[in-house]
Amino acid sequence: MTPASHKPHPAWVVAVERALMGLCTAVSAIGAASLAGMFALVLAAVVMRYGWSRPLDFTEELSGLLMTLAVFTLLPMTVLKEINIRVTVVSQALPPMGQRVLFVLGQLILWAFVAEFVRQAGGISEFTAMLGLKTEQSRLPLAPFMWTATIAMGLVGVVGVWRTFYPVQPAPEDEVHP
Amino acid sequence: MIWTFLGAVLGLTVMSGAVLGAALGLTGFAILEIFGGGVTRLGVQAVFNVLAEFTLTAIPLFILLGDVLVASGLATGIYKAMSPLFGRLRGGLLHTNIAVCTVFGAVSGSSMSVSAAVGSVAYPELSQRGYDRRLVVGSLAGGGTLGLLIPPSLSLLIYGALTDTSIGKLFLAGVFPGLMMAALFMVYIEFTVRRQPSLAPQEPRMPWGETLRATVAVWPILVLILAVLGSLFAGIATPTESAAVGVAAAVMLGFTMGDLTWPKLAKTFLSSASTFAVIALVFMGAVILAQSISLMQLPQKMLETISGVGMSPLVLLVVIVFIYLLLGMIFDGLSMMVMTLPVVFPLMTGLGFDAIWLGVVITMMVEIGMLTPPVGMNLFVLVGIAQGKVTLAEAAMGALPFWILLMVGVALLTAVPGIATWLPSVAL
Repeated sequence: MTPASHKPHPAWVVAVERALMGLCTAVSAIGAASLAGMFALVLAAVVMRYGWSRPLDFTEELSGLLMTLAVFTLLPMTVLKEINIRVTVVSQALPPMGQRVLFVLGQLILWAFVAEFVRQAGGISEFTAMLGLKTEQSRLPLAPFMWTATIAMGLVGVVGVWRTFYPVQPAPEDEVHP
Repeated sequence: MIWTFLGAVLGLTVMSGAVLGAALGLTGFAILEIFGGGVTRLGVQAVFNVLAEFTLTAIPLFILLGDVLVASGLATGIYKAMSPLFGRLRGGLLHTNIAVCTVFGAVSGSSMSVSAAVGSVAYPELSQRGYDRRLVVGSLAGGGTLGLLIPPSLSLLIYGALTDTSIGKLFLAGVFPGLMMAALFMVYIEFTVRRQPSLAPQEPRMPWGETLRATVAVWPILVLILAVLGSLFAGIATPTESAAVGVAAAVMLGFTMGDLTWPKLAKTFLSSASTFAVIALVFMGAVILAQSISLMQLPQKMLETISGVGMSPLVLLVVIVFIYLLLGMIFDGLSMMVMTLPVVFPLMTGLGFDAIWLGVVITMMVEIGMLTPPVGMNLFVLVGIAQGKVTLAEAAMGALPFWILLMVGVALLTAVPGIATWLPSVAL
């Protein structure tokens, strides 16, 4: 990832960038661990079912929760590295000033989306924690997963705001094409 | 009123270049807020509910499987093993491109993984041997699309999860259309090279005994196909479980038969996680949009309008195919599918189209999008592999005949829906 502008940034900007990178890396680690855990869990379920005739009854619920966790905790890094999918056909046809205006408009859309999502997800998490809701079969508590997802989405918002003022170009090795 | 609002807000947010998932989600929130009486919480609740579904957990695992295959370098051995057999045909190794893409498609669910895995082996070899570069890139881009059609397929998996359609049946439905497209591609190569022999040199023919002995070396990929598709179709494993078994098998084969290393595996794991997160954000936005559209009963209203106008289902299908062609120029394939399904699926099934058949047709439209510039993802991959020796325009021209053949495939599927629906109807 390289800065969009070639001017050197002041020291405090570099420090914030580093702090955000550290934070997003730590949060992403939770996501990567969740995915690894999900893989191991599903594989173990197959082995237990056919190897020992003892199926794991919590696999489906826990895998779903781990996936939810992975999705939300991996998002901040994708916003920090600017690797999310964008439709840039209009933007590319504009002069640099127009591109900047459109980029800011796009970032405002991200802010608005994340703000509403966090507002509602916070409410749902609070409600889940208040009632002590659990999964149906394996009785896993839902609140920790919901709160982590909500907080991670909040971090997406913070990173989105930061990137509005300090945009970067995604590094070629980071770009993804699903 | 609501249609104008939906079109205007969606158009503005998406075309602004905003993160696509946020654009879709914000449009959904706006509809829920303004037309639904402020029930935006339903959109967020739907995201949590959908993400926690076990079926969806197959998506990151199939992405990982495709990436492990690319990183393991297994494609080199498979390509060498299949070359003597298909090299006997006119068009030589161009047929091998299609055949290896077909076989790789049966273990990888992603079009781009197949293009990358096979292209990185085939392009340098074929260009060195004097094959026409445009035709090489075209065959690889076209062949790569088979990764999405032949099961396991990321596109069919997401379609099934979003529309609550049986993923097992969808996967089975992709088998014959996938083989049909592979056959069409090979017939095209055969005819083109017969007409213009300079496009491909004549490969030396090995005796049949040697050819068959060389072909035996494809066994690692057959083991993988058995692990992934065999376990799924035999009813031993769910799609998620078959993906996990496939990843485990691919890792083992990568270490023993390929050139997979621990650092490579770790890098692959991280890149798969990134790819998954990028898809997931689009998915989240689409779920919120779908929730708003469904709550407002927009597909039902559209159905009533269409019935009132007297438009026949076939004409509507043509219109939808045309819309997908246009969208394929600006969206990557999977995003295009995810964002259109909330309207297209209830509309088309409401008009009597079979949900399984529709899944295959939409997947083919996604494939066509993969070959349509300026956002033709398979073309990007191959231009990258060609390292500047083929431009995007040349790659697009090379892929054009395969693009047309995919359209022919859609027409054939429409004329004979049984190509897709017969196998799932007898097997499950």
